[in-house]
Amino acid sequence: MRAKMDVKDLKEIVNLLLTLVTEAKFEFNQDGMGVKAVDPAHVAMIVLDLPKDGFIEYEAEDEEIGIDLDKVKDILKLASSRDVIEFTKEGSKLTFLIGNLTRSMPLIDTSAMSIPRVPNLALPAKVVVPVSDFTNGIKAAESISDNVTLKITPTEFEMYTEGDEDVARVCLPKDMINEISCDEPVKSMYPVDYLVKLVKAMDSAEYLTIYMGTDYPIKIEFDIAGGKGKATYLLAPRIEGE
Amino acid sequence: MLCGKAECPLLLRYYALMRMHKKLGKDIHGSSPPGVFVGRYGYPKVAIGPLVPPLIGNTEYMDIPENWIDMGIRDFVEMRSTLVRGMKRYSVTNAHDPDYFVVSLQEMAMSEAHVDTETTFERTPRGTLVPGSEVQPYGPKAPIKKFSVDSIRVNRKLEKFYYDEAKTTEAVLSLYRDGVRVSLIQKALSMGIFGERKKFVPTRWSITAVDSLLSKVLVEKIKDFPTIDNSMVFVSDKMENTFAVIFLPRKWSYELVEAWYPGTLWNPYGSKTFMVSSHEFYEGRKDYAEIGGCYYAARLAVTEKLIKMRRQAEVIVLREAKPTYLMPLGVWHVRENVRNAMKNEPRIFESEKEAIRYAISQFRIPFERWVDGSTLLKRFYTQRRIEDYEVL
Repeated sequence: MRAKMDVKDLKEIVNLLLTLVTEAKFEFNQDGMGVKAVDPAHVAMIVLDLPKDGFIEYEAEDEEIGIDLDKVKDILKLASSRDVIEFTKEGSKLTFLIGNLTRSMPLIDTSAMSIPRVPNLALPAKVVVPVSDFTNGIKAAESISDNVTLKITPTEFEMYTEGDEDVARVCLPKDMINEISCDEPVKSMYPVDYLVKLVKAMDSAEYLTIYMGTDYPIKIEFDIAGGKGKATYLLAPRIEGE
Repeated sequence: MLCGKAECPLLLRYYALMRMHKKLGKDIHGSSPPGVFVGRYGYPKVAIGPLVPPLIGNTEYMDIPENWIDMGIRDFVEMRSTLVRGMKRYSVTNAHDPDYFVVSLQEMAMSEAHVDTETTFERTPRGTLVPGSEVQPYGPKAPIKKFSVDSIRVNRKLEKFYYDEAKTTEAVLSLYRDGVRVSLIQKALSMGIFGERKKFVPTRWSITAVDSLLSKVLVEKIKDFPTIDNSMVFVSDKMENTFAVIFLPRKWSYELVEAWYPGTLWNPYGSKTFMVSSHEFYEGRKDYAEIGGCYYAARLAVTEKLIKMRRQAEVIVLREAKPTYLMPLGVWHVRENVRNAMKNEPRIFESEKEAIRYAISQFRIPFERWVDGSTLLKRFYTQRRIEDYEVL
């Protein structure tokens, strides 16, 4: 396996994965690269896909590679965002090339790393919202509580949080939303710290496609690598009371 | 009792000390278990000295916390009250250029056999009645004028590090792996046996430093092991404290939850049960645990068990102190009580919920209060997981 890509794209992929895990199993094949990860508490999952065209150069057979993400993050600190990075698998090592710098690191044994199964969710409501509005809602919630409640109705998308005395609400009516499809109102509560980390790690996305049900996981789809790749993020809800 | 306790802790300790005072003069000829103590007041100039009972003989048991968990509180207090603490003020860096007194204490800290001593105090040792401490209690104290020791047989494993320049963490880990008991490592650390620049460490800090360091290393190890297959609950009921330890078949997370009902030690006047807890998720925690040294002592006990099982688990340690728990016995008590729980046969459960219900049924405090007081139980009951939903 040998691939060449923009540093900025690899940085984004690594940062997104690091919101959930410190090591991950990357799957390469002729068509491109994919990676799936679930956090240790099994509350969130991310699925990233970058097709062959998202790379500057790409050649790979069917291969699985276990990577220590903290190490890659350190390597990326040696590069500027405008740089190009090349990486090659040689035996049990991965060698990075940035300009005239080479840096090798051992691969992690993937035999104990399972690839998470992606649940098949029937989520009845969908909205497409600007990342900036979503980020505002998350940041407002973060200062008040460790939960945020999201709601989609046929006419609006709402994010709200109630603390003991404080309340924060971001409300986007239909005409401020790119797309909305919802027959019945749906509502779920989510742990806000996961979403805070997620929006911080996003770099390319301008819009989020959000799928939801009531007391069901949220599915968020967004662009990575400047639109060349796709990400799907799943987050399980919090249910108050038994 | 007005304060609501079954017996007065102050009086209990007072009587024990009074019995001691009758035996005490300015001179004590006695066999130290051996025990040493490093105070924390005035740091970096601290009071160091031996713990010496006015007894000759095999006193080793008096300073081996690993052997105390089956004792009654009264016997324990009585035993520790006979240990007289001698004090001399030194700068912590004096551990590095020791005089005769310091060398004697350092050799005592490396020994596992009692050491016969002659001590002359500035005045007759007096007891202070100060409950509320993380270190094991001791008896009267007084400044030391003269101190001499008989021959000392030191533990070779410890001595090696006294002359070695290995880092403190390396020394602590290597001794632990070599089977040296934790309380001996803690004592040695307090007397500045380890490291390139040797320093005294207040006893109280040395205990938690060792518990924290060892369990942190063990946590990283168990993260490589598979999760347990079934939920289990371990119980221990010793020294007026009940512990129920829940292992859930999930990745590592850990919490210690303590409940003090009205009339107990840390809640003497309250009308409501008082719950305190500290926790860590898989990634660990960076700041010092809110509830102090107990957190790390219990973490060591549970990670030792998981290492033996070669498994990882989500661990919730629940502790209820009874009104008959009269005074804090020291962090050792939590470590050994949880270790005792780990020695007992666990109850195995088909479901996580059953395990949690069983654990909580060990206590008088109602279910809702435990869940309310525990971050991990709250997460268990409110936070869904990805696998709870249909999978293709």
